[in-house]
Amino acid sequence: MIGAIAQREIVSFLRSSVFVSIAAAFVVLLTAAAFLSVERVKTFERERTAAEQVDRYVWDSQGERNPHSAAHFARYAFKPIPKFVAFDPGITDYAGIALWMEAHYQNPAVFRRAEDLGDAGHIANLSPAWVLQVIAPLFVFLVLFGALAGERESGTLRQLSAMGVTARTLFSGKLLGAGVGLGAIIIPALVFVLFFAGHTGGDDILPDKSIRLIGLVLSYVLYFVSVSAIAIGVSALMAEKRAALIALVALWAGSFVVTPRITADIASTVYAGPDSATISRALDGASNAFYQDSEYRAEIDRVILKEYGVESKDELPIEYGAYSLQKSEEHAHPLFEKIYANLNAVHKKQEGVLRAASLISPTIALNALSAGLAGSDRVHHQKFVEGAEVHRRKIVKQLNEDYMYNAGEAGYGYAAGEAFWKTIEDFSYIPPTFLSLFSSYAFGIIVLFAYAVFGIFFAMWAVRRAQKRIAK
Amino acid sequence: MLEAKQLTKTFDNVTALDRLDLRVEAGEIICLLGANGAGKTTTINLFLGFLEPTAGNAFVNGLNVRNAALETKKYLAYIPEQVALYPQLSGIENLNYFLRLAGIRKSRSDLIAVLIEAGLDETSATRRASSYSKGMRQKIGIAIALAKNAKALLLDEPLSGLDPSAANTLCKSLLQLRDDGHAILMATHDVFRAKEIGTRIGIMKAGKLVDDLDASLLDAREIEQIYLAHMHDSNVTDIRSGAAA
Repeated sequence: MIGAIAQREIVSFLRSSVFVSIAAAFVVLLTAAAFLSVERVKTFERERTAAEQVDRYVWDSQGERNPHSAAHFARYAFKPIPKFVAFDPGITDYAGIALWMEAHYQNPAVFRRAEDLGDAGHIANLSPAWVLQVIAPLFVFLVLFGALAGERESGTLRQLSAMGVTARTLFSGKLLGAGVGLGAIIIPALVFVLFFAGHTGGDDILPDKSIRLIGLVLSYVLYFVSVSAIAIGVSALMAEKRAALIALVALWAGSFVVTPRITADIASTVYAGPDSATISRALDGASNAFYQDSEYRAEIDRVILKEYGVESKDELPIEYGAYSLQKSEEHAHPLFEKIYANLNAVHKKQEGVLRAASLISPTIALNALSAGLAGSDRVHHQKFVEGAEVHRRKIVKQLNEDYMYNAGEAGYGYAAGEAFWKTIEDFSYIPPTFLSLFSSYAFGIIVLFAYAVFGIFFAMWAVRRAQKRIAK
Repeated sequence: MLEAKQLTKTFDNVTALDRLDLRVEAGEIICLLGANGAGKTTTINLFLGFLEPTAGNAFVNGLNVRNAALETKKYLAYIPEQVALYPQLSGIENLNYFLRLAGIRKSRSDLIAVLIEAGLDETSATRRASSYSKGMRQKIGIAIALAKNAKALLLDEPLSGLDPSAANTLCKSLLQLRDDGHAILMATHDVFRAKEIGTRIGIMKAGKLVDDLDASLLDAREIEQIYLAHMHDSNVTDIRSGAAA
């Protein structure tokens, strides 16, 4: 019986010019989004690869100079772009793709695409993920608004009930029909886009690509089960197709379009982060704090004199200036960590608001999970920043130690050359596996499951109610 | 086959059906006449299990609808005033769909044969139902009853709005079904068609079955007079006596 209902639904879809038109428009939009997104990532990649090569060349060919001076000249840590970013760019456009690994400073990421977009920036967010998260639910609603209201309006619901079709069977058949009919459009499109995105542009750096791919497909399937069930449920509550259409379009506008935007605005207003000037001042303060901390400086002097068993700095066999510079670095580390921890705490509070809002908007839950699976969210960016900072500290230390141990009588006049510059490794970064970050996404997964379960129970209840009301 | 025992339905203190006792045997057509709101459709809805009776019981093939609503539907076919079909499907596909819901699978040739038996030609049967007239829809309803081999048919004003030719065709089909041993309960406003095909004619008023006439003993005009007398609370004894004489 379920199969018969599902089959009838599919045949009706295929013979409906409305369905065919909407499906075609959806596929065109998704394909365009995928193409544009892949091209964008390809451009990113070209620019990043070129910049990396230039950075290496400029570094190696900087000529002879003091290693600490070179530490100020510094290098860039470039953020590798995972291929799935073409599917879901997440915060990529806003987070920056490179870090300047300068001595004394833990700089924030720079080269944000959003800064280069100008006036078009605020509307240039077409990506396959956005199409699937925001536009596809409208497609589902436009196809399913008459699922039950249409049967009720035309009288076929009475016919079905007279044939002994129960609410559960009817709902299951409808959901299966919608699943196959809509899934035949959405799932191949999703897989194609993921495959397309996964094979062009970007780096193959995600160590658990298969898990992420499966996770993305399952997340979107769950999302569309929820959306379809809600559409059937709302349709069952309405006596007329027109009323169902209005209700579903209103739901789409409210829950799928407006709520995510308003929530993001509320989150960033209530928990406003510091502006870049404030961050810059804080970083300056952290960087210079060493020179105000006479106790710390006295302590490092005591330690180094004791280590070498000498009475004064002049007797040290190492370059004291380099030692002091390195210690000033180490003095700043916990201060930098605190600044960025505070910044992250603000971001987490903003995410907390979004999490709460995901209870009224499945789009918000999917948005966070999708970007996490694509490796393009704040959590992944944070890991990159932490990785880059580790590398910055490593190369600054390497430079300072070369100066410290090899300067000898030359003092600040010491200069290292290309042979030494070549020993400074490029920043090499492998993003974390999804499973290692699973706890960050558990809430979103639970919420998406809850939406699917709620949607199914809601729709079952609504269909049962519709059947009970056919004689009224 | 169909039986109502003290069947009662009230909606918000309004009695839509008041202690109805009725039997429709195999090979019988009972036509229920009555004004709008007399309780005809409520009776059909109670047999279909669309409504829960307030009191009393409805039985289909000996099964109480209250306890075995799904089971009783195996024996029933329902033809409303406007048979609702799926416009994107052809007549054959609609028939096939409804039969599959009843757990019946038939070949295309068998489906066409049933539709032809119900009075629909093969060309029409392959057209989409969106272009069907009301009469053609009724034929699909009859075809479902035939193919399903339903023991009882419940028809809710199936003749309303049909042109005379289509009404005549439907009546012929119903008579054939009656002769084949089906029990038929039909709600209608058409006294003359009721006389033409009914075995018995029940007159309903304000939820009560106020008269139960043997259609073979009365002509259409007499039935109409009795009906009008009931509607106007006049004495029907004289009309009956006249008819008997």
